[in-house]
Amino acid sequence: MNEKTVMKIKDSVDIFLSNERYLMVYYMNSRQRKSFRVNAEMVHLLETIDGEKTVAEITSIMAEKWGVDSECTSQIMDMLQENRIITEVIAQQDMLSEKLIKRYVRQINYFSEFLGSELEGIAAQKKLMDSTIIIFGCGAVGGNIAMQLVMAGVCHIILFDYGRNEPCDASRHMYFRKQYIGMNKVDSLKAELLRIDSDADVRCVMEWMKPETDVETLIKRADFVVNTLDEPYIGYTASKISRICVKHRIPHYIAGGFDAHLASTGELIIPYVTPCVECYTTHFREVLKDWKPKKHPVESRYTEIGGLASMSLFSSSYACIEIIKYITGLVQMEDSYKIRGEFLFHDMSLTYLNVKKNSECPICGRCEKDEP
Amino acid sequence: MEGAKKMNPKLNATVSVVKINEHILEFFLTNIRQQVRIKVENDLILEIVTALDGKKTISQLATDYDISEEELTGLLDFLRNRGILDNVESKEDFVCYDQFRRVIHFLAEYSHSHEHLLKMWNQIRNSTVLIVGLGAVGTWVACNLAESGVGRLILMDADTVDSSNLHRQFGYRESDIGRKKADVLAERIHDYSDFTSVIKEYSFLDDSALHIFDEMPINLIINCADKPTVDDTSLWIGEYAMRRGIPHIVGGGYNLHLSLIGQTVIPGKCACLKCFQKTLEEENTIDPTRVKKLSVKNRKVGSFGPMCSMIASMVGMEAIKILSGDIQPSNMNRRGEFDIYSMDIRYKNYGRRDDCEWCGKSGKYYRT
Repeated sequence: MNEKTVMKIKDSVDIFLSNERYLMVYYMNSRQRKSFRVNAEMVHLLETIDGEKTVAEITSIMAEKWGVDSECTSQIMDMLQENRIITEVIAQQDMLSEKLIKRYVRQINYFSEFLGSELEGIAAQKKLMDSTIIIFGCGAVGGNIAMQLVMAGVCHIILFDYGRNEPCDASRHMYFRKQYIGMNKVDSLKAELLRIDSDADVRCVMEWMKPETDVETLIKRADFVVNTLDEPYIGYTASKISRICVKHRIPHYIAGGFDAHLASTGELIIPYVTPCVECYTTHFREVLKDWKPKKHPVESRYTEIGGLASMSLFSSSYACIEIIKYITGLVQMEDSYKIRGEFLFHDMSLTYLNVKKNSECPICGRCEKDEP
Repeated sequence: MEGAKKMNPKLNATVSVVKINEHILEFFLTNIRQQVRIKVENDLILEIVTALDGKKTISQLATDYDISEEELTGLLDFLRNRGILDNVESKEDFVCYDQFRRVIHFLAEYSHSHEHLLKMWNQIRNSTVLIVGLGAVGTWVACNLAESGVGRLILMDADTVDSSNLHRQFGYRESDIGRKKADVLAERIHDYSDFTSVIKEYSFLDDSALHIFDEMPINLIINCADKPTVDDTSLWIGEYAMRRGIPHIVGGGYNLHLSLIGQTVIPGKCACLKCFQKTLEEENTIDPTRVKKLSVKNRKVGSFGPMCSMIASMVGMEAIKILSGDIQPSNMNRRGEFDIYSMDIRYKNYGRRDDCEWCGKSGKYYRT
């Protein structure tokens, strides 16, 4: 710890002292808690760390007033920092401008709780802002994800869709405005993203996803890929995109929130770490082999499917939490990734599937993690 | 059933029919992911159901499958009552069907008949919802409800848009900085369609602020305000709503408690906010003579947009259940926590209390 550094108690912790002996620390953003057995000197130290005094000043007060030697104070301060109870006050940083800090300050504070210091929180924000993310599909979930990511600070977005906005999108797409009816979805969504952040760099690709469509060139430009495209159907687009992403080791998110899975979570795919789309497909081929729906008699059924804006918002929000956690490194997703889950409108329960990475998978099974 | 009988029977477009084995037939309602299974002796019911294309009359079907119309009607009534048959036809009966068809077909899985579905939809579109606080939860909820056909929204907030709001509060643009949140959000809602009317109230919540709404019919109040504290705002809204008998939802996703999934209160039917407060206080009893809180000066609070909007999505779902009048809300007598590490939800149950000063037997807002 630098002698000149100013230290403070982290903004997101609540500290309680019980019987003058036990310190209980509540981490409000992550709802975790820890407790420590402490003595009176420790309490004096915490009361001295006020966001204004430097490490040198704190050390000398502890020595003069409470007779604690400097080595001991320094050790305890390291421990407090390791446990994310105290952090340094940043005098200067050149990663983000004052204006951007002001805009994202609340999110940076949130990130900092996971990462340790405010400087790391700012670095995480910067990482998010520097990422290029391609979003396939500009429907209810894809549109929400695009807006939520741009709100969070992602500045480089590529949108891929062929469709146009229709009147009935008014009950599904949160980016919808009545003046968008008849416009290309990529253009209307881009307009909406620029209203949120006029500095965002948004590129539009108006194409169908067909077998001959070259998405590999596009995908290679991105740091992260999101698929929400359900035309021609979600299984096809997901499989095509995931194969390319695995090949180039690009992390991707196959979002939920499509017909019959109106509030599913979708899944983060880290090539060679998590199951890939092919692993999921193999899993479902096995577990659903006896579950075969009969041909539906109603011809017009595709215009009679249900959905609620709030259910799409669940799927998009879940996806954004996972995407941002991964990109910013808030949580080691390699160790704690989630398998696809379903949130049910009916009872507001969230349950997860049990799908394992298939070591025989033709897409991601053969290659060991460290092989090229 | 009169109206429904005029239409030819039709399998609900969102229902999948699966033959599980020789004796079990499953109807899977794909919107709400619930299943209805029936015991069958042979494939006759399967054949009839998969022929329900909406084009054949009951008498045609009875002839085709060689059963009596009475027997067939009994089967169809059973299926209709469980949302397995289409209850939407005739579509013209629904106001703004084209704009809201997704919502209407979603609700259909909860309907017992065409009339019942119409009633649920009309209740939603004729309802008034008061949203207090237009921040990281309130903005998303307001727009979700407008998109789902809620007829009238009252947006209450005195605050103006700040650049630090943009990362998590929906519908505010850079060019809106400095404008009243209620004004900006009302414009955003009108941009969806002219269907939802908006009443703006530029005031902050306090213990008496809600009295301006005394003469206004309100079907639901949603608390998305956390100033001065969530406990204060919840109790003010809770008491006002209990006095008037209005369902209310504690939004959750608040500052300093981002991961809270708040409870739903239907007055007289479940634990009220006072019941929760009493139980929570008992659980958290801290002896002030032995425990002291160390003060943290100049605290800056963290917030995370997608976490708040996820909780907003749940509030949006609960709201639709309540407004439909016939779908059981999930979060009565409980509240939840969303764990950002494990991505799991944990609910904790709280019961209604006899000794509650509001809804207990001798409470001032007691009702059954």
